[in-house]
Amino acid sequence: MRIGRLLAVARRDLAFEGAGRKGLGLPLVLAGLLLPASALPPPQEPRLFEEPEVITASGEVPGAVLELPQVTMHEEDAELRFEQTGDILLVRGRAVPEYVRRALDGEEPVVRIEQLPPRPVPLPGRGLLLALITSSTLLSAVAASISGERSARTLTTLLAGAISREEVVFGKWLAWTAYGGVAVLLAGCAAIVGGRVDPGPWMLPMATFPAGTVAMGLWLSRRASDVVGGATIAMRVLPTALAALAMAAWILGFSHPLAGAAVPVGGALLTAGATWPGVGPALLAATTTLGFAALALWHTARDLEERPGERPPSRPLFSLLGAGALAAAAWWTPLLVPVLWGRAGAPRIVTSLPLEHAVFCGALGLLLLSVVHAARTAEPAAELRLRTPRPSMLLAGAWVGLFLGFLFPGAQLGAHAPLLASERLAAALTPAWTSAGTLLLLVLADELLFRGWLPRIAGPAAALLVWTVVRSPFDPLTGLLFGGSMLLLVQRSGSVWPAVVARLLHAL
Amino acid sequence: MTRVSRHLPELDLRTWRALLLLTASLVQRLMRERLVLRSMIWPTALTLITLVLTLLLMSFRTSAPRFVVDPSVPPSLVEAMEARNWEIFEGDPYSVMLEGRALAGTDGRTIWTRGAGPLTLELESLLREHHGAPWRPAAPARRPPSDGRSSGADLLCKILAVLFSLYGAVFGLGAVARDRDDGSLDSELSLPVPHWVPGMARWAAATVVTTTFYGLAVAAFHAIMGVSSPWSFFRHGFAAAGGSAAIGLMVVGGAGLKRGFSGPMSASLALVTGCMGLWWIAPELGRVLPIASVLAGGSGWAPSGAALALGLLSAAVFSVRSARV
Repeated sequence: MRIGRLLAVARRDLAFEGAGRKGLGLPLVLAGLLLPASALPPPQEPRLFEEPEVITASGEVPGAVLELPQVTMHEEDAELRFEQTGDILLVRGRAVPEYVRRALDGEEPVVRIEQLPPRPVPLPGRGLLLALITSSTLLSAVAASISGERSARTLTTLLAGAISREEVVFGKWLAWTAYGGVAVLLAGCAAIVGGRVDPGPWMLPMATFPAGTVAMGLWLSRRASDVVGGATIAMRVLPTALAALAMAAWILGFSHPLAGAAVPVGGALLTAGATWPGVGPALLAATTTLGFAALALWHTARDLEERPGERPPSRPLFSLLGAGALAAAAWWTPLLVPVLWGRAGAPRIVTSLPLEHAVFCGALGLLLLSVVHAARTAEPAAELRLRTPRPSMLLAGAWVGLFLGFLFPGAQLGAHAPLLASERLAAALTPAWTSAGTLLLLVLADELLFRGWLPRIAGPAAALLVWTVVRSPFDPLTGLLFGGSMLLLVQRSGSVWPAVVARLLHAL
Repeated sequence: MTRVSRHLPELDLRTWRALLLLTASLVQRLMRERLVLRSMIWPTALTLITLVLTLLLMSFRTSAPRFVVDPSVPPSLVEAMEARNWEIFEGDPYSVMLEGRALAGTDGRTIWTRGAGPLTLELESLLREHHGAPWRPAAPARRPPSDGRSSGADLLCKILAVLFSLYGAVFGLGAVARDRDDGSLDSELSLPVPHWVPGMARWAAATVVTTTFYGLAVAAFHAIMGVSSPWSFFRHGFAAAGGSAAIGLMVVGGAGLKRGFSGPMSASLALVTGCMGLWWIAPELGRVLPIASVLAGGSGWAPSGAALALGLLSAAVFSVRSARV
């Protein structure tokens, strides 16, 4: 890499964003956020467990307790409730203050409580806040750096020039890393001058943290076709990745500070907050973050020429499996996840959550799946078979619905939502217990997805199989017969409306 | 069209139809963006995956709370503690507790602990029972079930609304900046419709897409955890999405990728965050303002109306600031 070209790319990127009056926006926003953050007073040290100065009591409160000046009677929502059960006085509350204990025990307590000071937990300080603010503010500029060039069609020109891909990517990284590094160091110096923090090795990882996040931002947005795509992917992934890396560093830091500092980017973020003292963690965090940045930039450079939106031609089987997996996730998540509450020790939550809410959510998810797919095609209405059918087919749909209602009556529901997964799925297959709105939503979602879209990409048999697996895995025969009847209607009429009529009449 | 009439609301059928078609086309374009779609689904999916993993972990957890007892503690007391499925080990309670290797420690008369908790109360109750004390502490009685409504679900809805409102601002900004750069905005502005129509269509498209996916998130949390008032959350989500899209649309002005984008974007995101902060400074005002109402609460009707008004204002600002051919 040639340093002259790197600097030229960096200068170009900064000049592009900083040009004119609008170029002042970014530094002004940065200054507006960083200066107050550097002037904030330092947080207080963790203190010993403190007892409440006053407390409310209810129930059969002994006279000795009532006489205490700290205690007031309050029948509703009292912090302490006294209950006499036989010879024993039960004192219910989150904690019993020492003055109440003395009043109950007298001078010689039966049991003493000794509160130990809280364990020192390494918590990050101000440097973390400054580093985070800087990186999140630069996010948009970083995300727009490559994707902006791509949408402005200058990337191809740049790549065609006498400059390597690595020089382009590293130059862009250099621009925003230097920008962020200088900004965060200035904010750190302001905090030091204001007496809010002491200078220390934390300044090194704080200055290198933007290097890691800028590299991540460039890597994330490397294939985005424009700035909206680049910004949304960076906004979506970067906070999650940073939170995960910081959490991993923090947890590893309990075993040894160097283990925490070794986590790329996350270690630098925590070391920037002076979480772990000493030069070792600071140096290690800066090194691993820079190493990570180099790796991310190398990958970004490698993928730079790949054209966005170009995908291998899709195969029907893969498309069907993908659509089936999405449909299963959309339907099973609201219906089956509540069952886990029961396994996790809170079965009351499952029974108190109405099944209709789950059906509504599942149907909404299925409907969105079809609508989003249709929106991506040239003719959305044709893709979902929304053409107007012949009246005779609507009539046939009505007959099929009534006949199926005679063969398989719509599922009914008891007073509480079922606890078993199989019962919940069976109750939601052809429900006759939901409100009209939820039923209509479910019927539309089912027919558009399983009879409208899926048969077009993989054929009716495969679509029927997916319907049965997703909607009726514990009773496949009913699923096959019911789904097959609807599919036949749609195939014969070329429209989903006869099936919708059949489903609605079946539920009646 | 004259210079002035381009900016004026012209509410004939043709204008409405143009608005509807432009909005539908913009929604369709947003839906075709894989990155936009993933951004809309990712936060909800991530939260749900985390919830499922937590529930699975709780379903299969085996770890018992650890207590340290002095060797002098009577075996009957140790047995009573073990009968509660606690893990008991012998050692010097004070030093073990200083090392943080146990939840609490006891020598039969003294309990060493940090803070207060139901298990410490239970240990104290056991000791008092062992010594025949006249009173015993107990954890507060459980409240009656609250129909499965949990404040956790409400909190998740609020956090997601914050994120979706940031998306709203990005869509508001990007829909102008991107289309200006690729020339499609110029094509729309050359249509025989007032200039506020493309602006209003952009606001509507950004709001519809963001609100729809936020609605799906609220429905999912309502089905799985129980949200206290799902429809008011939906209204707050609409208000936040509409308000932030309007901010993006008003801030972007003449900016585009070729004319500096990061400044307006940072300013919009800072403005949206600032609006959110109003909840903290003036909670009552926050309940009626879009974006702030996400955290301040309320029925959501007033902020929804305000978001619509902001949408109209943003279309007007777009017409004056951005729609220069």
